[in-house]
Amino acid sequence: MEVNAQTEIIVAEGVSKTYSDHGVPVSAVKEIDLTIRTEDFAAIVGPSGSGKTTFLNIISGLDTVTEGKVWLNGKLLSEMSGRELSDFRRDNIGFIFQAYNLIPVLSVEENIEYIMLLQGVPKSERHSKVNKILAELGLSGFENRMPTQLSGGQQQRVAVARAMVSNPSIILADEPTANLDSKTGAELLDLMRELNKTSGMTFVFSTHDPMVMERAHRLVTLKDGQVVSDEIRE
Amino acid sequence: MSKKVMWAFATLCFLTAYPLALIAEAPSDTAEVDRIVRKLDDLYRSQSSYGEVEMEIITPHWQRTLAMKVWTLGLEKTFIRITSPLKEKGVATLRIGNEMWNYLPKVNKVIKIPPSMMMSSWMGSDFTNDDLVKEYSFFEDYTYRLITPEDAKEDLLYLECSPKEGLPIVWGSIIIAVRRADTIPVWQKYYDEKGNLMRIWNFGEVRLFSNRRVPAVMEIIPQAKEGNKTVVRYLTATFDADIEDNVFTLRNLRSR
Amino acid sequence: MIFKIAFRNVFRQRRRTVLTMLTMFGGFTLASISIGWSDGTYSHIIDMFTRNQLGHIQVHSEGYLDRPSLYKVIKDYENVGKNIQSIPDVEAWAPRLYAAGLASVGEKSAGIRIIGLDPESENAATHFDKKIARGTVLNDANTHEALLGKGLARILRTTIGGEVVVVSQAADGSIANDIYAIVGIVDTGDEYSDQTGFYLTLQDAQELFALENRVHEIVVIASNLDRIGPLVGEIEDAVSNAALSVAPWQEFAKSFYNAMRADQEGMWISLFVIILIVAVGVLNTVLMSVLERTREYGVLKALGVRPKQIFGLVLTEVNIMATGSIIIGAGLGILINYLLSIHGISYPQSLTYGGFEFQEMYSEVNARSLIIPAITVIVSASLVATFPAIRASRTAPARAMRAH
Repeated sequence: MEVNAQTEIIVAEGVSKTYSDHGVPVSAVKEIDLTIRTEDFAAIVGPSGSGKTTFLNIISGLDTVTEGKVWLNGKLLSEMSGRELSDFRRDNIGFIFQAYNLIPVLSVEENIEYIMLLQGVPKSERHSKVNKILAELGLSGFENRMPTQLSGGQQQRVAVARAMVSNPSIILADEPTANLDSKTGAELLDLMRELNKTSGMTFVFSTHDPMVMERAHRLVTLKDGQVVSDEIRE
Repeated sequence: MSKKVMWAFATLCFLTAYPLALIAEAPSDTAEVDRIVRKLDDLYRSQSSYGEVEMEIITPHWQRTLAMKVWTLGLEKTFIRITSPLKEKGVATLRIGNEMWNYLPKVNKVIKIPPSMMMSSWMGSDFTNDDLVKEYSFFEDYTYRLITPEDAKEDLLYLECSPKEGLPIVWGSIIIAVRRADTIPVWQKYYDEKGNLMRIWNFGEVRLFSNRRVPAVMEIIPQAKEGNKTVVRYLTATFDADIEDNVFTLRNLRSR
Repeated sequence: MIFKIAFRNVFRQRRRTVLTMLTMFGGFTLASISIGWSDGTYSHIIDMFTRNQLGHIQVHSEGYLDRPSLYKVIKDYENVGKNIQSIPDVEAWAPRLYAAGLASVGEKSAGIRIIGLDPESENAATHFDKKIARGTVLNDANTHEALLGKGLARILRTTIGGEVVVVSQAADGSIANDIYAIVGIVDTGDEYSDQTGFYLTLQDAQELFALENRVHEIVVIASNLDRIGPLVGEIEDAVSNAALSVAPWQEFAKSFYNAMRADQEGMWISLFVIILIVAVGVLNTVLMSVLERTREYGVLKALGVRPKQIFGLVLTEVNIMATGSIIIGAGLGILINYLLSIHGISYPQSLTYGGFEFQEMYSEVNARSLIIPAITVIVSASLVATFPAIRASRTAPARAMRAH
């Protein structure tokens, strides 16, 4: 299969994942073929247990497939070692989790610059990037706060900042609004849509939040681990 | 009656008249072997004796010759006085039974040898004080048998003697070679309990003293001390001489 | 950054950290004191053993130590001694002549060890004068005076004012004999040597044994126990005589040295106890905190942190605690060892070692008593933390995420 790494950022081909639940095989996803393109602002939706999170984990290399292939930026994930995967995630994917998952012992600034540190970005550059993204996300002045001193929305914004600061080619967000009130959630989503438009960053959500669906320009629906619809809206 | 292993110098009791029996064949019966052993025991033994002796002591560090006069009475008493060299002139040793005293003219003192010093050298020779004191009889204190060593010589007979149990004898065994012709000893080899050769006594220069034919020279070669050797030579010897008992007294020891 | 996270993690769970550090601190301090104590005790014993009699270094004729003999002598000893004295770290030296003999007083006789010594240098080197329990020191000349070991005087039933006849054999084969006036009684603390010890001036002994200008031994006292090793070579160079051998006390007092070494092995038992204490404490806390933070490790892994770095994070946390404990423990350990090195502890019953009696023991402040426990604490803590750290590094990010 030909993958155009310029436009096709994630390509999943015949992806299946089977878990063993107390000895009983459970199919989480079944033969999914899906391509995420550059500048997508896509939502993967479906009821609980439809395989959204599993699929997201698979395309980010956090989980392995039982069958099928996944290309990320033109690279076949199954051919990468654990260490290559770690480095690849670090350099290409930004994550936003449902439970924010900020590192509790690090300040806002430290949480955000952490990945850049791992990448070996010099201090001055880190500093300016952090300041820039904090300003963009309306978090200026919060640099030295600890996560516990922030509200849920603020924490999730920090998580977004952390995901975006190193300029990944794609941001994967697993139910980013689930723990936020609707107003905060909406603000956050608008912010991400704005970033998508201005910086051309690709976003993929897994969600069943209608607010997310409203704003997504591509809606992939999963049911029982299979894609039942894939609509693009403008 | 007990006697001395140390007949040579130690006892200095030249003894028993020697019968000139020629034994052509190796003696086979026990009585014959007993007779040889008894004769060994009695070789230098007599009721009393007097002799003039030269003792040459050779070590890797020095070599010297002592001249001395030796009196014995029975098996119990020995008196020795050194006559030369000048530095030791007058030094004397008295033994009565198991006790020993040395007299030192330089400081005019008599010293009793303590039991702890019995294994020390007598006057720097290869004899220990103990050698002068201990009296053992091959016949009574040892079991013995004739043996034929690998390098046996035609004109010698060989006896292997092992101490009887319970006796404070330091040797594991003693091999004695005697002349087949007259059973006069040629050498004795002393072994420890592990069978290591400890010292060799050689006998030589058979001479006639007071109608006795005895070896006049004894050579003691300790095996542990390389280069050490003590040679004892009888210049004169009189057996069964008329010797006064007052020779063997501390008073005589002190008189210069 | 790993270090920063680790450092802050340590402070996150204060109670647990304090508890863990207390076990490490306790283990470290205990070990530090026990090593300092044991080293101090042995230094004290070594000092008694060497400085009092044997000296730190001995010079002999080649082969004398293996098989002492009257004939294995150091010739022209005064020049040899002068050469040795010229070395900077040599504090003192003393020549000695040894011979066996028989001593006799009236009807009493005993085997003796005749020790010819130069009173002045012997006092400087081994404080021989302090071992004279009664009477006077020997005069530094040809006096025909003698000192007797305490036990020997008892055996000979004589005392100061008495006369002793000595008989032996001189180096030229002649009978060595002479008479000496007893001027003092010696108590070295070593019962056995006091039963045979008979001390003459070097001149008297040399004359008795026809060993003019010759001795059997030169003892050397170093200015410092640690300088003994290098001094051996320097003395060899200074003496520059292949017929002489120079040995440190570890060699000529081999059985004593080995016995002491064996005793010191006991130190490893106390280290083992620390390892156990530290291990149990560390395993417990680290395992708990790893289990609690599975999710955090999952996030880190999702963000692209390598397993090795997570492993490093856990170990760094443990080592931060260990280092902290060691620093505090070192302070306390040094303090206690220092106090014990000044004041010492009296034994309820005096201890006899190597023939000497010891009533008081002292500790010692040295690098060993800090370095060995420090290494022990760090290594054992790191080893024990390895298992939880591997566990943390293997956290599956996906599964950790899912566990909301």
